[in-house]
Amino acid sequence: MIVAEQKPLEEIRRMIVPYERVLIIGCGTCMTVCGTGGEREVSFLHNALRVAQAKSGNGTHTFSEYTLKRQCDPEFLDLLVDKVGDVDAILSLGCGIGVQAIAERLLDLSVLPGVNTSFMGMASEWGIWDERCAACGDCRLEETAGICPITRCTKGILNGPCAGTKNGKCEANKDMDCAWVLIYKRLERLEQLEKMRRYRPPRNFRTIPRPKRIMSRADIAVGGDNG
Amino acid sequence: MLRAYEMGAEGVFIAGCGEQCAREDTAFWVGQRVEKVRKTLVQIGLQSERLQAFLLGAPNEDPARELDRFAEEIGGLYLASVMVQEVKR
Repeated sequence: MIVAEQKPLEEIRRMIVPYERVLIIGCGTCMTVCGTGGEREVSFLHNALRVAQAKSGNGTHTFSEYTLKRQCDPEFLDLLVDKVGDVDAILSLGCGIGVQAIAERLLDLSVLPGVNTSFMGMASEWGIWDERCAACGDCRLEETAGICPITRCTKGILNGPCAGTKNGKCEANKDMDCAWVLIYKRLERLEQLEKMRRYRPPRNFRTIPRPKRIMSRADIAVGGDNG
Repeated sequence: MLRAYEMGAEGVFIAGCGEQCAREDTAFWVGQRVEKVRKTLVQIGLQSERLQAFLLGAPNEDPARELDRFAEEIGGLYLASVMVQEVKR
């Protein structure tokens, strides 16, 4: 899932200065799960902005709130059309995709990001999220026992470990496990250690152009099954 | 919790049953919420001491005494002029 963290209140207050009526929009999927931009966080931010404005005594903003099931899907964005008639700007607590999706749907409104989209990851324990995927478009997890060296090795090296690993930890961060030691141990457990001996050539980033696009429409049209 | 400050409260005192609570991990979850609101209070410009939680842990603890102490403490803080504002949704 996509993981983000909310921007500091001060930054959000600076962003909304030019706009009087601000609609705060949450997202019901990733941002809800990571506790950054779901219904509860929208309500909390709404209250915080109002208290901050009342304390400063110099704001004239009015706030409203709404949470979409997903900000990144056109069918849900259609629900916004009726709600933005009397707003000057939208403060999105969705990820960067959500902000852009709203901006593309509502051409005449300013859309402001309320969160910093950080990475794709998973919860290692409650409230702690770790990056797991860089969406590089060239997945090598089969070769590395399901552990991604691109994201979990600080150097992102494809033929590790480097000389900086010590006692299974990374030289850049002593609290962090060396990804390549993890890969070695897991390959050993799976009896696939021969994969450690393979040379992995450098990735050719020119073959991974951005922005990426995946088209599955043709498969759907002919009744194909993608999975 | 923030709504109370907006309505003009100088502080919020949360009283709970702590370890005696029938629900699990009450202290942990209250702690998480209180910490989040405290951080926000600081960002707003209010002192974090304006929010305190008291979870009854031992039989000899007295919530009323804690509440008196809290009221005394926030009474000594600079009173931020949080104005009552019409709630617009």
